[in-house]
Amino acid sequence: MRTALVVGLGAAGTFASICLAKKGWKVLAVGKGTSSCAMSTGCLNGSGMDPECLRELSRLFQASGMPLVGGVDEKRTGITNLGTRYDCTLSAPGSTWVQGNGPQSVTVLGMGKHPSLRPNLVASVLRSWGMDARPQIVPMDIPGESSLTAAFRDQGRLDRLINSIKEAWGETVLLPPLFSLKDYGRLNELERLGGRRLKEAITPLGTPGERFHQVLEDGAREAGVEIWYGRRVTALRTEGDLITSADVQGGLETRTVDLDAVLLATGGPLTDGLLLRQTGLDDPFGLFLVKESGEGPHDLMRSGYAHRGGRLLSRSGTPMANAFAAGDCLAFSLRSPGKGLGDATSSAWDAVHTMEVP
Amino acid sequence: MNEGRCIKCSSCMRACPVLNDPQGKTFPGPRTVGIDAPRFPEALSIGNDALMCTMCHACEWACPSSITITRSMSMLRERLADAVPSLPGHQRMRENVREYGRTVTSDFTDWKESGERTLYFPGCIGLGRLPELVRSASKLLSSMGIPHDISPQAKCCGSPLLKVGAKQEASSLQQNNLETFSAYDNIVTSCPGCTYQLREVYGIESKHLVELMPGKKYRSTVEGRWALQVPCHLKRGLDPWAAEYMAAVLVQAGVDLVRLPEEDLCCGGGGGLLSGFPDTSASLARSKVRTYREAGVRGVITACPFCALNLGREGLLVLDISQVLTVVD
Ligand SMILES: Cc1cc2nc3c(=O)[nH]c(=O)nc-3n(C[C@H](O)[C@H](O)[C@H](O)COP(=O)(O)OP(=O)(O)OC[C@H]3O[C@@H](n4cnc5c(N)ncnc54)[C@H](O)[C@@H]3O)c2cc1C
Ligand code: SF4
Ligand code: SF4
Repeated sequence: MRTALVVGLGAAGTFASICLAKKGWKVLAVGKGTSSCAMSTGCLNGSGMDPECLRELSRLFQASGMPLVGGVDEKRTGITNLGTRYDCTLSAPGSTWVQGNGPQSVTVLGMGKHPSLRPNLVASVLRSWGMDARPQIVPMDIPGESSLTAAFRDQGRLDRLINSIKEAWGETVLLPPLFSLKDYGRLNELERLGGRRLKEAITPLGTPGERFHQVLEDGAREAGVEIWYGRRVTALRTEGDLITSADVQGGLETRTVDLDAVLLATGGPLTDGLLLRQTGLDDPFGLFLVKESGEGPHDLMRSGYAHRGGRLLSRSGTPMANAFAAGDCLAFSLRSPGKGLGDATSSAWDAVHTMEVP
Repeated sequence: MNEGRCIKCSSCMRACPVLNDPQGKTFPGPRTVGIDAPRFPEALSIGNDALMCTMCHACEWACPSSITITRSMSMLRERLADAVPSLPGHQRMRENVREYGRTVTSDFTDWKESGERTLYFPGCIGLGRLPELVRSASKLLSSMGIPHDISPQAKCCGSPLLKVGAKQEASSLQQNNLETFSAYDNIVTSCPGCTYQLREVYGIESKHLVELMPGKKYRSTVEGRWALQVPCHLKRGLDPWAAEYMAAVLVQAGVDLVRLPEEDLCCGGGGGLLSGFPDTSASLARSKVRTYREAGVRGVITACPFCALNLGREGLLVLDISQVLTVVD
């Protein structure tokens, strides 16, 4: 069996690992730190995505108990935790509605003084774009820095929430994300018990991104991927245009692993995937060509690894025999919030399907 | 240091077990203590609440920018030690070290001084609070074919002192210990906190018992279903692979092991939290014990005296890995 080393456990790396394992590769996936995927809102724009790729992604979400709704080109809308409108094509069912089919009247529900959703602010922003919105607060004391997901495992709090939902005005209640992936079904239960349509505010840096990440991670485990989290690939060794082995560092230990192919899914400079130099972005491994695909030489948002269909190029511009890449580390990525997850999964799909090695 | 790379994503705050605990409300959190506060001239007004941390490295693992947050927090701890009166529990610990060379008193007497090449370094909590753990680790080492000494000359590794900012005292302990160590080729430990201190601060090649275990065959001596309590310093501090060995060795030995997603959450015992903020420490332990009880396991297996002590206090059956295995010849 051939071994693929996947570097980076974000959306691109984890999804690619699943696809590679299914194609018969032995996959070792190494990653460290919270990925952008886990920091995202978990809503994505699937335009341009291969329908087969979407099918695979949908299958993973279906199996997790939090299905993806929407499609490659379906227009969906939701409300962010700041009250602004958010458009995408795919999301968890509790986050968005089909465009044009949205609520006319909304109660914005805050959890005590918790900063996750500020009802007065959000309701006034909603009114400014023409929605009839009112603020309401569930009386409870949850400290600002603590996680709602942990707080709402408590039945007493859930009961108080259900009462507030029953009392709420209007057809839809907007609330902050409360449930982890394991408990996602509770959102339906709340809807049933409270008698109102519920929507989660679209929120970055919290539970929704973590859920998205969890779906992929569970999928990778299921597919038999060996996951080395909390470890970093510090060096890749080459023989000509072939990568032969990698150094992996975890804690105070470093190990060397042999490989037949490597797929870099290390993300952008934000998550430490590309080096940020005075002159622009650079490859931390010192092996591959990084180029700016945008307008100016300092267009960091558009630069990253140069590639041909996901295959990396050496610093002199020749194609590598067994090195590939996907996601935010690639030059084509726009790295604009709202498009990143779609690009990451699409490019992972493409890279996996060009992965042939000598 | 690399604090300048902070992108203010708060991933560290979301990962922190103290902040996620109802008794941890007054902890300012890793980003505040490690990154934000030290930048201001008023940094020290943060006070002793900045010490409300177990040094579990969870924040560090979560940080997308690879900031060594625990190290940054230690630097503030050092400055705080000179500026604010220390907590009663931390004071007591320092007095013990001054008087006995260890953080807690001990009536351990099974020393071994036969001039072997390996020194087993059990650490203060083992010697003082869990002598049966020290004896079982020693027995297992012997049956693994590793004859060893246990020396009364080896004192506290200094890790707890560094955690409360007592740098001077820690370095004089280090000097004493290095002298004792010079008579040996190898140092083996059973406490991940000591191992981390010896490797990272002393810069010597010590190994935790668990790291020496792969490659031999073991048999389980316990019945029933067990879960793991993976020590923070072992998994996130020293060597993530060692935590994986731990599970592999137990499964090979025939232990009925359940892997819980919460197995590597901090027990609340480290970093001086247990001595400085006993209520918070107990609250963290209680919530872990609740998780284990809900999972319906008989008890947990760990490889850290702090985990054994802190979870044991909340009524959970906790055994060290050396207490559940024998070597098969
Ligand atoms: C706050 C925020 C909100 C966002 N919201 C959205 C949104 O709503 N919708 C959307 O579509 N997109 C959104 N994005 C963008 C989207 O999340 C990213 O574009 C996408 O997740 C990138 O995926 P990736 O796998 O390429 O990279 P990443 O998710 O960044 O993963 C790369 C991983 O590789 C690791 N890594 C790097 N180097 C190494 C190494 N040497 N060894 C081991 N591991 C390494 C990194 O630590 C990181 O975990 C958001 C981004 C952010 C930051
Ligand atoms: S080391 Fe652990 S307890 Fe301390 S701040 Fe970081 S996550 Fe919190
Ligand atoms: S996780 Fe790292 S980058 Fe994010 S806020 Fe904490 S220290 Fe800053």
